[in-house]
Amino acid sequence: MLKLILKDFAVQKNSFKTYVAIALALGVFFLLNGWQQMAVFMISAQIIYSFLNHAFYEDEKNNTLRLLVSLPVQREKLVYARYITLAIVTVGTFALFTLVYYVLVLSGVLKEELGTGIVSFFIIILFFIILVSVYLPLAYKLGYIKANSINRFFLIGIFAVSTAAGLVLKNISESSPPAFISRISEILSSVNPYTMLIFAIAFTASIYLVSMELSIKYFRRRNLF
Amino acid sequence: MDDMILRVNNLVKKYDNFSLKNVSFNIPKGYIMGFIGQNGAGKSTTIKAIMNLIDFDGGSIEIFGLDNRKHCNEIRNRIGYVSEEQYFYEDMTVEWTGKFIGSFYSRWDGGYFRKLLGQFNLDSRKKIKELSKGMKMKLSLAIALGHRPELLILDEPTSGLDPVVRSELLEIFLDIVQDDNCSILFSSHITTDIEKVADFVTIIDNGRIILSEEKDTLLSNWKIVKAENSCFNADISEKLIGVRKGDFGYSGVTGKFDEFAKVFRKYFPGASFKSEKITLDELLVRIAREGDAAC
Repeated sequence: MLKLILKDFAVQKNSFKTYVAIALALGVFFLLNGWQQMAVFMISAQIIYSFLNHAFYEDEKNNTLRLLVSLPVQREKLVYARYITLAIVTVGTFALFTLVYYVLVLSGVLKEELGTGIVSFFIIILFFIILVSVYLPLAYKLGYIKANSINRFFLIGIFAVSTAAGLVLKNISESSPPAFISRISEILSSVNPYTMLIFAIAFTASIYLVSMELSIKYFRRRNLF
Repeated sequence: MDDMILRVNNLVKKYDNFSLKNVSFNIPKGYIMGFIGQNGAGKSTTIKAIMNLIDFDGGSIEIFGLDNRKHCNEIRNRIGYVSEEQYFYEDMTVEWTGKFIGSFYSRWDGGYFRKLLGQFNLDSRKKIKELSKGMKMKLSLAIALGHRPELLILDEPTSGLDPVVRSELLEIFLDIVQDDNCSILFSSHITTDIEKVADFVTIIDNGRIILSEEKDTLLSNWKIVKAENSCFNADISEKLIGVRKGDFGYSGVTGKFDEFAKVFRKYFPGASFKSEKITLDELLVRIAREGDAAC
């Protein structure tokens, strides 16, 4: 398992520098515009997404899935390894840049208050992980190229839906909201935000595990020859 | 365990436009089996089924006496497999590739792998993308041999290589069998390669095994016969495959020469026919021409 995890890092040695540089440039852009938490999220998300895509891309470009499935290793282990690698990269990247962000805030370089805003920041990260969990089984079922094309439309869809949802919520907040929305809002505000975060983490972890099981199922059936 | 290292029994694999039809053959321990047939005859499909890379619809495959689907990883750990196309991470070095792939095999011998790289004149620091097709094939072979397999499965290893590299590889195969007591299944449509190294030959055509026997027996039993067109009838035709007719005479091949001679003399007692030794190439061409009638 370890060799498969290390392989995903080793084969990206050259491309890693490029996408980290792009992610940092994106982060600087957000910082300069005053979106500090967003900058941390964008840097991390860009690195994680690029890492995942390049891992699939290297296998697709070199046709090495054919090599891997001919080795004395079960197909499910190939999938487990990819999920573990991704979990390491995700946790590691977000932890690193969140730490950098905290250090910058605590040292006064960034002027922002640390508070429950961090909960909503983590919720965004978890939402990103859910999106990745949707993408992975597609990549194992259809291959990187097809899955990536679908993913682009999916992300555009998410953007459209979230924009529309934002407008609806804005309209609701400006007028008097329907009773059920007020009730939901009351319930949510009565729950401790950290309890909510724990539930969100548990929910995301379950989605990630379901995604892994689906990927294994699809990859076992996939005809590579 | 018996003396057969590989047993393929009535293998069936159906595709929309092609199928393997009850493919059966065996490889004894310590021998080279040449697996020949024209492109699209079913060689690679059979090999992929043996390697459990594709599902099959019927029959069974036993390697080292074990069912290849139930004991897949245990079997793969004892097999060296070289596919027709080499699939490596192009930006990685020869050394990294060997170490990475070797780490999956319990009996990987890094020292032996490096020795083979030296023997094949492969620079371990070179990147895969810097290697020629022949070099990649040699690397693939070094990796396949690096864990000292008991069975080496080679899918068209000499296809697309220049004659010098092909000749080198054939010598390597002979050395492997002599030195390491390893059996080899070697598929190719280049019959001259098979003729040089194989102990046994299996011919496949249109998904069906036409014959599978010892190469020397096959080459001595099968002959080309030639006679005048006036000495041809339905019974003669039955004894021949791949019949070619010209203005004056016909030729065909037979695996039962004595029976052909008996029938010929019965119908045409005063006439004569010529018989010639056959090459695998000629036999394959005639079989391909005959198609299903050969079975």
